[in-house]
Amino acid sequence: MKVYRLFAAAVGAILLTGCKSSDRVHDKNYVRALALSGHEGKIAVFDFYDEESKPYASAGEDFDALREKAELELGKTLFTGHTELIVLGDCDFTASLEFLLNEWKVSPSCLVVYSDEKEWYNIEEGKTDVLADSVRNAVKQGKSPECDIVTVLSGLLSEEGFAEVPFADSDGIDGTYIIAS
Amino acid sequence: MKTEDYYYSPIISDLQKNLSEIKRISGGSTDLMVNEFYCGGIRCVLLCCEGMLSTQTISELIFEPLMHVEKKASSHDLFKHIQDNMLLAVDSPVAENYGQLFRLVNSGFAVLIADGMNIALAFGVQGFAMRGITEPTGEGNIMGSHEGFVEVIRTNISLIRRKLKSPFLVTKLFVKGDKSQTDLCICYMQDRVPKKLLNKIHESLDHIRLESVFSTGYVRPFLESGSFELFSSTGTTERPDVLCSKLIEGRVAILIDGVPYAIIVPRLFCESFQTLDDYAFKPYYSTFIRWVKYAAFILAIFLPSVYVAIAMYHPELLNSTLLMILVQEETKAPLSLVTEALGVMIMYEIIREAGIRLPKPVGGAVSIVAGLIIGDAAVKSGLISTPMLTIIALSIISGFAVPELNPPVTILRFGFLLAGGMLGLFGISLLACAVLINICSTEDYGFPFTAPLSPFKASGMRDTAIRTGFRKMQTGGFTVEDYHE
Amino acid sequence: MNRISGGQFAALLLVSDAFTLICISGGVSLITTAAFLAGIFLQLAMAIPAVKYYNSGGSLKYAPKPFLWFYLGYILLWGGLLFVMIWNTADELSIPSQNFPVIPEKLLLSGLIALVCLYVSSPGVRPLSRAAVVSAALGAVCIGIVIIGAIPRFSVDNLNNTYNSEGFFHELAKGFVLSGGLGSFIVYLGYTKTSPMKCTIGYFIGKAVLYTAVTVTVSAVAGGIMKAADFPVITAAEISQPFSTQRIDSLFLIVFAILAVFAISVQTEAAAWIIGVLFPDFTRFRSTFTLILMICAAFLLSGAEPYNLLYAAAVPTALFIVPLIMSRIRRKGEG
Repeated sequence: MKVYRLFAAAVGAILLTGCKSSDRVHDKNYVRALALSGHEGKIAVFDFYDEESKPYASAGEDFDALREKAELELGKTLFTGHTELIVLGDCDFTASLEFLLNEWKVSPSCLVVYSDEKEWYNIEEGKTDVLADSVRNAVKQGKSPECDIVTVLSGLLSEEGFAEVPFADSDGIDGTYIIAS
Repeated sequence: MKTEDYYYSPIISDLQKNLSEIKRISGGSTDLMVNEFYCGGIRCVLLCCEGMLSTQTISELIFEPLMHVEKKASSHDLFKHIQDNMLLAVDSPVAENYGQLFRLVNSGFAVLIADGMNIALAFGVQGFAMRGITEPTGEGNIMGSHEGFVEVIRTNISLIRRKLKSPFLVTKLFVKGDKSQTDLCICYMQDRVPKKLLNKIHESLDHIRLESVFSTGYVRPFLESGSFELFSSTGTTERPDVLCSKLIEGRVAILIDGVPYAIIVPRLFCESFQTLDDYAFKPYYSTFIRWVKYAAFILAIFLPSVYVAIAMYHPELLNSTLLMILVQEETKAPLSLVTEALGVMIMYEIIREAGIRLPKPVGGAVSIVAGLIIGDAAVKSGLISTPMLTIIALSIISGFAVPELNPPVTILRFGFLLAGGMLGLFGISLLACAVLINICSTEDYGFPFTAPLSPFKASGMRDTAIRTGFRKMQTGGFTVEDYHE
Repeated sequence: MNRISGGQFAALLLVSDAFTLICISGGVSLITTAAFLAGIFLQLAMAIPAVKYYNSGGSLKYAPKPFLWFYLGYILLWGGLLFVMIWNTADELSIPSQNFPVIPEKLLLSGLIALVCLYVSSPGVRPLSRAAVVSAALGAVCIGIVIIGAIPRFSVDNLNNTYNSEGFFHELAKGFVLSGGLGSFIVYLGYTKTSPMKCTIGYFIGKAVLYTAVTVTVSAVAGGIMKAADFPVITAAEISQPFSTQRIDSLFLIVFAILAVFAISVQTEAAAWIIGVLFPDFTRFRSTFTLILMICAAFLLSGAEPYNLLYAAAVPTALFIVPLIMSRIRRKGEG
């Protein structure tokens, strides 16, 4: 009887592992950067690590709807744990960054910049790696303030209620911008 | 016929009836040689087993002297004369029943029975073919002795005695196995061994009721507790020098005739990572190698499961460049990561087992098939991804760094892979808790298997976490009793 | 119960304390650190009657039955509260449950931890205490790695955010609630090989070091985003990035799982022992029965606010008042 139980447990274990087709490592879209704007409704553009995947624009009532639509149309789940750049447009900065950090589990070292929606050129053309590198260089050289998501969120949640982030346009970084909670 | 039918039957005095009984018990075996002759005017028979004794020795030491014995009044006088006045062999036991008689004959003794005597005299003139003392195959080393145990128990005892010339070394022979009548020997240092340990081991051995004893695996379960233990609390060694170092620490060894391994009781988990070479090199190098082995052990068990768990469920733990390489490689593979890993590991086990069992001339062909065709072709065809093959290969090679723990490591590797495949790192940590408690509950004869790590003994760290130099170690006076709870 | 060493005693209890610290909710600041340290000092003082009781040869095994019933009830309720903490914290840590689509994630997490606790608490207190030493060492290494990974995020400015916590006395009460494992402290103290006083002092020093290291680190690292953090210790660990990893939630999941298993197993073992004393004929399945009772207690306590004064008051009762009464009764009996 003990042998049968062990056998059943082993078979069950094998079946319950990822042996059957489940979300495999290449069945995800790894988000490199995302641009976000909107208060009542949300608009987002996702750029991916995979060079073959073109940037994708999505819209929805809230973050969950936005993501669901994106996953449905792209046919793969989105993985935001490796996001290295967030471009904020006009939106509730504090709530958005809180949500991205706590729910979408973006990397704590993810950079945050501000940009007007019309200037989301770099995201839409898939050149976010260039933009991210220029932000990092600017921070290193002291030309831009520290702008990782934790620092920016700390500023927004502080008593002062604001944070300074780099301003991005189609040519790259152009000064800084104050975002307030 | 059952063993008890003849084992305790006393030897019949009448020679003819005695011979008939012997032939009946032996079933007329052709290798039982019966030589009838007159010795001192008394009708005698010399029994021996063909091929088990040295012809030259028996001729010079037994036949020649016995042929020149003067006439005796009775068989009692004859036997008294042989026992008191003739030193025919160094080992001359007496058999009082057929069990002892047959055990001696089948051990290569020449056994003398006489008309009118209900005992038999045996003479140790063994000369059976045996393997010479060679380097141990399973426990390689660089700087130490290259002698290993052999199949003959008395030779093994002599190997130990040569290394430990102390009179406190005690060796006691006893017999186990109703049919096999195998000689076992318990060895210990009487000034070091805890008395309670010795008594409990004797009690454990008394519970053995096997028909045969052909390997250490027959005896070890009786020396361990009956509960399920992933790791054995008894060890084995093929090396006399290792055994002697354990005896000095107050442990008990059990030798088995026909087996070139000795059983050591008790055994601690940390000892699986100690080799004799550790004590031949400088302490800093030995400490480095020790930690390499600890790391290898962890890698051997956890590497495949952690890789699968991270790749499937926790990719944020990987560097983004590494992740993208992984994604590219896995895109080509048709199977899921867990299936790939299981497949590679099972294939390795088949190749390993085939490599041990197959005839030597075919060995080269297996290497080619396994390494080049299966490994190379499987990757090129895309069945298995290169990172997966690399991870499994690394894990398996790491397991070889601690060969003694290879069996439990192999099973744990599979177990953790399934746990990682089901529930990611959460599943791995839950299984790790269960395995940890199993290791910590392994305790035989009052010696916790996880000592000296837990219960923590600072003095034990000098040969566990590091390898202290001998100038400091010589002041320790360590015995295994220090770890007793 | 078999005897355990002082180190094993401390490891058993510290592993349990580390778990409750991980599950702490609400803000953490230097005020929290000060309040927790003050609480630990008070607890040490309150533990003196228990130490004297055991020093004078007293034993919980031979104490009047009402006291045993009290500790049994206390430990079962504390175990239930631990399950509630696991349930509440499960949202913060995502376990891969894709292969179990039918079972809710929280239920899966709690159920699996309970199953493993059953196995872990079955062999007895000695294996559990040995394993606790190993897991305490591993936990210390993990906490060290998290702290080292969080050093780049240390900010002295964050330490000044004292508004993160709700006042000294609130934090003091919180500290007492987190110390619910002191019921099992009383049980295990009677079975140490070394002097109860040495064990007690060693344990409370270790606790003080643990609480200080964790709360100061959390304040310095996550002080700026404390308002956005439901579970500050977990958040601080999440934003620590050792070895250039992106997020170490998953590594923290390992620490969480191991500490949860041992925290509950420590309570299960203590409660099972008391059941064995109260019902000597009940020899098998004590651990199973204890776990079932704890799960029932978890259902009872699931809706309650975790940091309330009632829970905080229960700790001094178990730690100070009951042992004081036991000592007095014992002295009267001897007199």
